[in-house]
Amino acid sequence: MNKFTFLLFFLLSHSINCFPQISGTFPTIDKSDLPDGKFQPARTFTGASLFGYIDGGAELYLEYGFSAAWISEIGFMGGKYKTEIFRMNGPEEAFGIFSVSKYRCRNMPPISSYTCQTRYQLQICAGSCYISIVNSSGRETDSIASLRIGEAIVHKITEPSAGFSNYLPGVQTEIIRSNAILAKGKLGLMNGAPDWEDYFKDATGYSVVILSGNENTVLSVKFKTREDLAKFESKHSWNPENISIAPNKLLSGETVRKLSENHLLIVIPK
Amino acid sequence: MKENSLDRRKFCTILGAGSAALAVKPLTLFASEPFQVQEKPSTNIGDATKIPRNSLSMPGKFPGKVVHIKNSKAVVNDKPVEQEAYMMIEKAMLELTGQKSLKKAWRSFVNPGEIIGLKVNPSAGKLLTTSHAVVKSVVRQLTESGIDKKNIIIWDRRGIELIDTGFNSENYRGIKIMGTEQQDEKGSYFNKDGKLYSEGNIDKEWFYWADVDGVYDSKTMQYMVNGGKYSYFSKIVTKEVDKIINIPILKNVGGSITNAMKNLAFGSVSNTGRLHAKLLNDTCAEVCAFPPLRDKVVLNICDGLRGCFNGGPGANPQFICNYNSILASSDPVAMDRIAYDIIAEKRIAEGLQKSASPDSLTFLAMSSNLGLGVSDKEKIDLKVFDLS
Repeated sequence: MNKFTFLLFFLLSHSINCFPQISGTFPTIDKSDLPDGKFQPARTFTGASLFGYIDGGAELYLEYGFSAAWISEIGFMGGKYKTEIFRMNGPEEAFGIFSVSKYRCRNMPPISSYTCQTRYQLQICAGSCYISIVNSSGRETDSIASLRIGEAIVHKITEPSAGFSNYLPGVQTEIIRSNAILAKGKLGLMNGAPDWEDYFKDATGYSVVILSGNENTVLSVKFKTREDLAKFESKHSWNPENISIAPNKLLSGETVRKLSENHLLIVIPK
Repeated sequence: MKENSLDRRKFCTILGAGSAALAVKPLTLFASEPFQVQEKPSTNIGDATKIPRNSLSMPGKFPGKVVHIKNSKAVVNDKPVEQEAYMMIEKAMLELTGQKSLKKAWRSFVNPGEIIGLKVNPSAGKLLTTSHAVVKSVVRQLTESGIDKKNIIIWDRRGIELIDTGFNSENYRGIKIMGTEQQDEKGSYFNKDGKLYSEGNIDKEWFYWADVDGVYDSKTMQYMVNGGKYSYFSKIVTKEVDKIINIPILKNVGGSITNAMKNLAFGSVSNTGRLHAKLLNDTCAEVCAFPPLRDKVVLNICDGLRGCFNGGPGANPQFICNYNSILASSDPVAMDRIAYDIIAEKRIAEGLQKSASPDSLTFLAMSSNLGLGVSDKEKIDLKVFDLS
C-alpha cells in the first residue's frame, strides 16, 4: 500500500475528534497594541444588527453563526486600513467565512493557521474570528502594514483555530488550508462552491467541507439530526440501509460511507 | 507561504486512486416519498396588482430594450474616469431613445419642475459604491437638459452610507442628499424621546406585507426602522420624488446579481432583515410592483465601470473588477438580465462556476410575470457599442 492509498484509507476509516471550544474575549486593538496607529472610532455590531453594516451580506454571516463585529479604520505606516474583526460562534464558523471569502492568495503568511494575502486585503482566520484588513492602494508597504495590524490582533486570540481531522481524517493541513470550503447552508455554497448548490438543494441542518481535486471531489457532510440526514438521502434516492461504515459505490457514481451517526463522506468522480 | 500545488496534485492522485479502490458493491436505489419543499410565506402582492398601471409604469418607454456601452478607457488605475463615463452615458441615452440631441433624450424621461430622485447604491462602502464619475455625469446631463439642481435628490436607505461614500453637499452642491435612516450629529438614531428619527421617514400608507416576522433587538431596530410583518415604503419614494432614475452598481450575490431590481426593492422599504432568507426573489420582484416604484422609476443606468464577481453584495477587494460598462434601459428587468450575463461570464472565466444557473434568474421571471419587464433573453433588444 503506497502512502497515498494509505491516506485515502485513513480518510475513509478514521474516527472523529471534537472541535475546540469557544473562548470569551474579543480581540480588539488600540494604541497600546499599535503605538503608531491612528484609530478611527470603532463601530460594533452584534447579532442581526450586522444588517446595519453590510445589509444583505449579513445573511451569509448569520447562516454560519455570527456573534459580533468590530470595524475601525486604522492609519498606519502612511496608509489607511479598514480593519474588520468578525467574531463567529466558533472556530469552524470562522473558517467557513474565511474559506468562502478568500481567492487567489498571493501569500499565506504564517501569523495564523489560515491566512490569505492579496495586494488589497489580508484575511485571517484565528480561533473564532475572521479578520479582514483592506487597503486601497495595493503597495508593498500596505502588505507589511496589514501584517503588523493582523499580528497585533492575532496576538490577542488564544483560542485554537479550527481543525478538520474529524471532517477529513488524515488529510494534510496544507491541503485544507489551500483548498477546502466549509459551508453551513445555501449561502455558503452560493459564495464558495456554487456548482454544489443543486446537490444540496432543500437540504437542511448540514455542515459540509468540500475538497476539490482534479479527479474527484470529496464532500464530508455532517447533519444536525437524523431527520436532516434522512431528508438528504431521500432527495438523492439513496437507501439508508445500504449506507454504512463500509464504503459503497452508488449507481450514480458517488462512493459513500458513514463516518458516524449523522456524518457522511462522499467521494464524487469528476 | 504560497499555495502548495504539489500537495494539491498529490491529493488529487490520492482521491483518484481512492475512487477506483472503493468500487465495491453498488447501492440499490429505492422509491422514496416525494421530497417536501417548504411552503413559501404569503405576501400582499395582490394589493399591488389591483392598482391600475399608467403610461409611466415599468417597464417604461422602451420595454425590453437595453443599451450596453463598453469602454476600456473608462477606468484608469482602478478609478472611474468621469469624462469617459459622461460620454458613455451620452451614447447610451441617444441610442436608447433614438434621439439626436442629448437634451431631447433626457427629456423623454424627465421634465423641468419634476423632483428627480437618483437612487444610488453605496451599501458596500467606498470600495464599491455607485461611482461619482457616473452620478456626476448624470447630474451634469440632467442640468444640461434643463433640470434644476434643486430638483434633484440623491437618495438611498442609509444616510450614513451616503455620507461615508462621498454623497455629501460638498461634492454635490445644490443637490439634496437623503437617507431614510438618519442619525443626529452625535451619531444617534434616536431623538430625545427615544423614538427613531427614521420613523418619521416611512409612509405607513404604503407597505409590503409578508407573512414573515421581523424580530429585532434594539441595536438592530435602528437599521430596520420597524419589526413585524410590514415593510413600509420610504417617504422619499412615496412623497418626495416625482420620478426615479435608478443607478445601481454591477454586483453579484452568490451566482445571482444585485442590480436594478434589488437596488430598488431593498433600498426603498423598512424591515428588510426578515426578507432576505425566505423571500429574496419575491421581494426583488414584488416590492417593485407597488406604485411608488412601479410608476416612478423611468430610467435605469447601471454603473458597470467597476463591479464585483464574487463576495457581493459586500466589497471584497480581490473580487472587484473593471467591467468598463454602462447599461441603460427603461426596463429594469431586461437590464438585470443582461447584467446577469456579464457577471456570469466573468464568474465562469474566473472558475467560480461552470455554467449559468437558472435558479439565479428566478427573480427576473417573477418580475416579468408581474409585468415589470422582459426577462426572456430572446426577446430583449440589446444594442452593444464599444467606445474604446
